[in-house]
Amino acid sequence: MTPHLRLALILVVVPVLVVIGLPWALRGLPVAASETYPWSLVPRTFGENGYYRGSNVGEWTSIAPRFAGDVAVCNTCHQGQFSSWSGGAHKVISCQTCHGTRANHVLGKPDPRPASPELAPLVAMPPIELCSTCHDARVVGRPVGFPQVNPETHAGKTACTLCHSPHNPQPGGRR
Amino acid sequence: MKLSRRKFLTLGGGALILVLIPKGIETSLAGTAPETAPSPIGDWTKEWEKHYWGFAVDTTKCIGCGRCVVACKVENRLPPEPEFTRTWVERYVILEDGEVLVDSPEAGMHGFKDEVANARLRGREIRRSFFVPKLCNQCDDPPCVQVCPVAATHRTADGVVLVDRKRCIGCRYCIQACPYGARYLDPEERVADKCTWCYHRIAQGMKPACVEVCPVGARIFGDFKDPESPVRQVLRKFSVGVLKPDLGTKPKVYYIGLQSGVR
Repeated sequence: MTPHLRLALILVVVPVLVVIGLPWALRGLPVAASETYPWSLVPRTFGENGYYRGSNVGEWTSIAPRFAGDVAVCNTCHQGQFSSWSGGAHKVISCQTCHGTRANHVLGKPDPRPASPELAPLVAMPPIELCSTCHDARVVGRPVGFPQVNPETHAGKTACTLCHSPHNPQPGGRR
Repeated sequence: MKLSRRKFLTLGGGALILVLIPKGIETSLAGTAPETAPSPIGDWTKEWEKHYWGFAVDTTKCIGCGRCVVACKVENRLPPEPEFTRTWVERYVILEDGEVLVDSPEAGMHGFKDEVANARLRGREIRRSFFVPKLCNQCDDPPCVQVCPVAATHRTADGVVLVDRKRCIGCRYCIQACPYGARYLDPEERVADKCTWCYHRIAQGMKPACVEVCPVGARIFGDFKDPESPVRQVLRKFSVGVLKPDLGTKPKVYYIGLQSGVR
């Protein structure tokens, strides 16, 4: 092979290997690595929807919800509690406000445990603490007319649930 | 030109390294992907033109229970520490002598049970007091997007400002630029983080987690392109205000009963 031919071969084969071979070799790597062209830091989807990496939108929309979207589905199984709740003053409150994340529960899977006790649902608290979250009259700043009591003078250490059903809180409300 | 085998290998190897360096940087910059699931929605960018999201907060209803802050942390897998939060609740206590006390203990995530406010009151008379939940305003003219040097933060066609966690270099310009203090630096991945109005939920037709759990309906969410949506009704029925309108950021969180002086 003459030197000219050899040089021509190198000048053709090497760029072809780099431009086609490298992306092909990298195609199986994780998203982050294959999202850009091998010779650049600019992602392939950059500019698809605007001045940003287009595939970022799909990353955000594919996160799995932990709170279910619609509590009407709760009535499928928990009909007693549901009808009691829907007839009382607490019907404005979502089941998940007290019972925590239920997206997986609806799908028949276990819901993730809270990452820390501070993030536990309200039902994990003793009744007085649970109800005081909203109804403690000693808190400054609540709107006038919002139903509040001082738990100490109202019933002492008696559990609120002795008289009030959390699902239908009027005294005598259906449990 | 004569190319020895040694020279060819040196040049070829050098070229290969030059090509691979950016790859290595990109791979090392990439954050860990959030917990994902097969999305029930397809390519959202084909749908998003049909929506334009809006948020309303009723300061006359908020009771400061803080369940929104907890729900946000759980839904969005945020660190449990209160300082890393996408939403928080402030309490304003206006005294008869004109002084205004503002507090937000632990971002309000455990409510306002403490007596700190009472101690600061020193027995003075309260004229008026109320709670103001805060979150990202998803501004139509967002300063955070303007200042990002790597185009990691952007506005979607349905009006939500998102952070590309893989591109963000953690320079914190956006955290400084946000006049509402809505952003913080994720302590684990060292990238900017902020409220997305639960973008993964709203794209599936759900409400944001904080709206879902609010027991008094103080947080209202909807689609401006739907005439029946709750936000459209709020804007129809109430006089509303936005935070710091003078800055021209065009925020999209509308506050019912917004007291002048609340920033």
